[in-house]
Amino acid sequence: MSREVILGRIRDVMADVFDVDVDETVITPETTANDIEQWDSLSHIRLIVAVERKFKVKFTNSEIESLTRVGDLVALVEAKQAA
Amino acid sequence: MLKSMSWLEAAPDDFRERARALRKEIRGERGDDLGMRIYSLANHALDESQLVRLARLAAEGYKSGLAMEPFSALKLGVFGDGALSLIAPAIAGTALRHRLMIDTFVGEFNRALIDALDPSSPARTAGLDMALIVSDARVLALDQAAASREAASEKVERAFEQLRQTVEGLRPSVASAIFVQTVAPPLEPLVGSFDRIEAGSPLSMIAAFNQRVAEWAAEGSIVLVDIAHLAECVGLETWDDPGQWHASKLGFAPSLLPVYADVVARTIAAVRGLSRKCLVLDLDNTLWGGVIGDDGLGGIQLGQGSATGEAYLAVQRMALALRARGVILAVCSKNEEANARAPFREHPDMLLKEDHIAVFQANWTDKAANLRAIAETLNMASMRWFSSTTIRPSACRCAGSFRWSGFPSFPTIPRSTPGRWPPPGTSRPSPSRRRIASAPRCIRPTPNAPRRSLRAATSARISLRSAWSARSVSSTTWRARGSRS
Repeated sequence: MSREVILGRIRDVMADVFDVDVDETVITPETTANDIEQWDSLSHIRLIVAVERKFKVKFTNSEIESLTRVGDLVALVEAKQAA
Repeated sequence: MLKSMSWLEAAPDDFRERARALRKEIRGERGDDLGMRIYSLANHALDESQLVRLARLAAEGYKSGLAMEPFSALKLGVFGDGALSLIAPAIAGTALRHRLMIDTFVGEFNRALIDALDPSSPARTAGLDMALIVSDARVLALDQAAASREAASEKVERAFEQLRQTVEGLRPSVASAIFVQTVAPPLEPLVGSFDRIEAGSPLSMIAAFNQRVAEWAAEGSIVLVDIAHLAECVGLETWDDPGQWHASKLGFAPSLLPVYADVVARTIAAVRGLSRKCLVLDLDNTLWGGVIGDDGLGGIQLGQGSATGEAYLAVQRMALALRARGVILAVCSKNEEANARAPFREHPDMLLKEDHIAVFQANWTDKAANLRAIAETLNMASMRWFSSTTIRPSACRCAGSFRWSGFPSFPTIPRSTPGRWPPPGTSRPSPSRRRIASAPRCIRPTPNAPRRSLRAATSARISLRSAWSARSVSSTTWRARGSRS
């Protein structure tokens, strides 16, 4: 799965988790929690759970803690899927 | 099955679009069946994010003053150990499935006891109808072994006392029931099988603690939510998620939030008298194998001698067990009536007889109309009492679903008069608050609706109460006692 495809799917997941309109909220690899109002520590947990479910992967706590941008999440999913 | 909530239909692919359309209507166009559409969406196996979204939608509709049939409003305080801010919205979203519009008040992590004992804390002045205390073995210090039998019993006593004080502290500020959870046993053994014998092992201490909570609930002071049993049913290996505890203080795997919330919400609904009261059964390939119209009396599969025949017997036995607990049975089947009734009259292996069926609808009319006819015959003004969570043609799904969707909320005898809660001998809230808490409230119903639904509820209560004479379900003893005292 290419990064572009992964990003697209993560965008969909984020739209559901944060309850935002994907057309109105631009999500790029550079997007961080500061850019999305609804992205707080609680919805972050739901985001991780939703991404794990969507891509059938499991992250460790240290992997989750190392994430700062959406691009990091995309790269992590890609690495997990390749493994 | 539990984890995936397989008794519900899968979440619709267009959930996002439907939620968005609903929001648009709430903010502008004002659709008049909003409540029923939210209810219909809620009756799917939604994930934790979808639940949060639905709860937000419903709350927005409620706040903007829209008529929200079929929901009844309730203010629930959520206190205790763990990520309550994750738990509370999941409960609010799930409660919609059980016809409850729950507004949650969330206590702070690990501050339940302090909040409960401080008369000026926001928890005490929030105007709560009900409260839920979330417990975790790690916060109650039951996850670390005790050195001796005495030390173990002291630890259990301390944990129980902490919980008891929280409940008693909150009680004057909570109009109706307080829900207390049992604690999931540990996944990791201390020394192996010896854990069961050794009083100081976490396994034994948690079992002793849960026993204390159960005895407390049996006295009628609190309502038990058996989370330990849920954890065992889904499997402790699935339930346990230490990483999540370290990261967020959620006491179990977050993927289990929907089923956890369902167990909590159905218990709350049962206390509110919102349990399903009627089980509608299909016939062909539901009560027997095969199609009676095609296969004939001798051709259907039912009874000893084949696994399939025995399985259908088991389904019938389950239906009869529910009937013994006061659930009304009805039949709704696309069939010639004579064919449909033949097995009930003549098949030697049928456990269900015509006498067990309150309403028998066998014809070629559509299922929805037949279900409505059953509701009218039973004088249930609302389809809400039906065990089939949505009106769908497959009563087989319905038969398969009652095990979890109806249990333990099925055997509910609604409190017969306002003010039965709490039971005698416990402190009672003020009369006005009590009335609010015990009468199912419809949110802004149409002028005639309250009386109609009250009448229906009353008639259902009468028939249920007479059927209840063979009281046999211990888990509902407190409520049965409440309705008789």
